[in-house]
Amino acid sequence: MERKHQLMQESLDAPLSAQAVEELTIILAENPQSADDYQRLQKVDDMLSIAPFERAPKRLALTIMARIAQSVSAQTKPTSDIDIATLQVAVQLVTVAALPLLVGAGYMLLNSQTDPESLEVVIEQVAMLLLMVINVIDVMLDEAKEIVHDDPQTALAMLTLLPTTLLTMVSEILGIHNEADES
Amino acid sequence: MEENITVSDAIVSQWINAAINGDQEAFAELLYTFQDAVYNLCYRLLGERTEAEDATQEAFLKAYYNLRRYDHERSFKTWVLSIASNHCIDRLRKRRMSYVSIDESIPATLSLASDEPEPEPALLGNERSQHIQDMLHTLQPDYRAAVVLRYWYDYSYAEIAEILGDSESAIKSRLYRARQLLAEKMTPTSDEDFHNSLEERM
Repeated sequence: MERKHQLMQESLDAPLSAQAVEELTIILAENPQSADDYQRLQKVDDMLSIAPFERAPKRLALTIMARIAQSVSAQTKPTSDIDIATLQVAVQLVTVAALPLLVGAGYMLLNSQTDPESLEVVIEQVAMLLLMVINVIDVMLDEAKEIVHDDPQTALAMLTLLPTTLLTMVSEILGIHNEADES
Repeated sequence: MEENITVSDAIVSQWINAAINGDQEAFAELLYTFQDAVYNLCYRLLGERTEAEDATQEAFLKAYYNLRRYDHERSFKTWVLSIASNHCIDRLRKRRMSYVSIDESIPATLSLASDEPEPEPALLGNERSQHIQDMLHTLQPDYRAAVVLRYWYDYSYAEIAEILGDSESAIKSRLYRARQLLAEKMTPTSDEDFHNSLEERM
């Protein structure tokens, strides 16, 4: 940095030594442009030195404490015995609903072996069906996980709805296929 | 400049230890003591009250969840201001990346109203505050942070370097450059007009 600029800036941060003051005075006297620059710098310094301090709104601290309390309570919320029991029932229901689907899929595969031409079609349909079932379970479990802290009852209710959703979906798909076959 | 806070380091340390052990009231004491400092920094860096409130909340939440990592050798205020400034600079960078100009000043009438009363002296202060804010917004985020910490908090170059995680010499040259940029933008006419309007009202 140029010496004159250095002196100008340093004079804003702390009082200069007598020697530096003399040096700066000479520079400013000899160069009107530098004097103008220095005046502008001083104006900036003056403006910033009296800048008002913005105070936080009164409600801000309360909002922050409420957020902390909410977050801590969500992290430490104990799962009740009833919740655990409901969760177990939901998982059992999912298993019960998924088993016939797996058995049905296996049955279709075995039967299709007598008709090699339709084997490919059946494998495709079974794979699609299973993929859809897995996807639905995945999505519903993810959603249940997201809301389980804030609203465990709704999360469990979602899980208990899984079997019904899966059965409805499968019957819809099979219904569509049957109609297509008949036509 | 900031008003002096008369809470001793020992009391602040007690509050921190209590808060680490789950005492939320102790954290509330820390919050009440330092909220103005954090809010002012966020407001000066972001330039908008609603966003400053949001950033203050985020800074204190980060502080709360990282209290165990706080080094008791450091000043708590410096630590929490460091969290807030990093958060605000990140926000400004993201804002820039999403092609929203940081130079664009948001009219006060469009921002959500604060719950603070606005009597005559406050209005005058707001006008001055807005003028300074407009000037600050012509600077890039890291320059702005250095200026705010120097003038509003009276921190030394070493302290600003600690807060912004940079070297002392880098902060010094950043501040020098920022002052020069502001001086270049300060036309004698606009500045005199501003001061005259203030004097007339006073």
